[in-house]
Amino acid sequence: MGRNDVNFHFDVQNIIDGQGIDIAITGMVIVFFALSVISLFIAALPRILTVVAQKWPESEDRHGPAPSQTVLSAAPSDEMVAAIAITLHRRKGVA
Amino acid sequence: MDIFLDFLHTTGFAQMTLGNFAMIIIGLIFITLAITKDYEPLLLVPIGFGVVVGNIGYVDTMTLGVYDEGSVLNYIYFGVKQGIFPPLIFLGIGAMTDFSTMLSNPKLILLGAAAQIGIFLTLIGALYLGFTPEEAGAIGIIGGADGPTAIFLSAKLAPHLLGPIAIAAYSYMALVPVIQPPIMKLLTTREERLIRMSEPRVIGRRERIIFPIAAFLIAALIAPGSIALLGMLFFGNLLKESGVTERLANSARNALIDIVTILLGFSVGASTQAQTFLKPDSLLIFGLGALSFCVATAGGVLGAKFMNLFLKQKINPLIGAAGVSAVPDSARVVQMVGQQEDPHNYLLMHAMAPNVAGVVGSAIGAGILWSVMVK
Repeated sequence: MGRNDVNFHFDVQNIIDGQGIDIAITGMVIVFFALSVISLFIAALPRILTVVAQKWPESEDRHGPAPSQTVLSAAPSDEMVAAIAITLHRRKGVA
Repeated sequence: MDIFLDFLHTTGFAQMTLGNFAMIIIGLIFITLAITKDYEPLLLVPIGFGVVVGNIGYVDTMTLGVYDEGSVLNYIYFGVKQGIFPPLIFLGIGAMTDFSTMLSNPKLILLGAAAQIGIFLTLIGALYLGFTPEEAGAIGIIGGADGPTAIFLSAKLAPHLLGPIAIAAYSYMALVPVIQPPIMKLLTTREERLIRMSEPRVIGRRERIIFPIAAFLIAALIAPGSIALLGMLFFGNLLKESGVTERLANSARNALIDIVTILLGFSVGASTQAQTFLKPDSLLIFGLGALSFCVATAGGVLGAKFMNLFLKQKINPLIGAAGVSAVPDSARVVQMVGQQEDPHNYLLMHAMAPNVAGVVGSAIGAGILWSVMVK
């Protein structure tokens, strides 16, 4: 395997000898097939889970939401703090 | 005096060749690009400094370089040579990847497949230029735009080309913001670039937990050569999504991936000694690598346009360019090019779907090439 000295030989015959076209077509077909199967599985998954959930409802998460479910971080943002401060200030003013 | 003269003979100045000097300049350019232009700094700084370290000359009797059995650098390089580091990086990538956008719009996965045409057309090009089928397979995987996958497959099929292939793969990944936009604009009309896509649906916890297990089983059963890469990728994702192994997921996506990236980048850089790197082969590999990136980008965009022929709700063809993987840079490029036409069009999260599908697709492509070449 491999070559130590430079010995380039540009030739279409190299592609034929190395079964380049066959490998490329087979490779693309398999990649498309594998990703298509995954895609179809993902598309079917919500329906499967709806049926499953009727029998085994999804219980409350004992460990809290997974990272990708987290919408709000624990610490309020600066904007949120500012909004709360303004609201409190106005309420105190009115009272 | 003789001892002093002998010592002078052993210094780096005496042992340096013009090639070593040129490589040190290249290493410094990498570091400069990373610091001043922010091009993949987490990769280019270790690689760039590794290039500088690897090109300091020394006498043959000293075991210092990555190719010298028993040297410190040789032990670090072992992880590259044996394909250990890439799966560990995939573990970290899995632990930090959110597959939600892909799960909410599964048809976008096909764009990750379309972009893999870069791998296989480059393979044909490399064969034409006279590379052996194993070398052509290793060079072709540059089109997968995935550094760890390129290193993994090169280590298996053509270890003697590992240095140039790794450097080409990571260099072009860093140059994604330069390479992709002209091709994306050339292949799309303004109307197409203005297409807005619907909000992704919310993904349930069960879906996110089942996905990595099922996707691994499907991919690995079809292409077992991808077990190491995809096994670690989906294992990392399961750690993240299970919600019960947060500590492990944290370690995988922070400390582990950082340590492995440092070791991998540095040792790959150090493997580019001028004596083994500066050859006509390397120039051809760089040329083919650039071509494969362009073809992969075009494949993704044209794949999206082809899908639009059959879809009622059109997809923005720009997101096809993210199918080349190069996570998350190519998705960011999609966002950038999309916002040049419409500043209020947010394509980033949509582009992440083909982007992560591209990672899976290139790993499957590598598995196929490995299976076919190693009979």
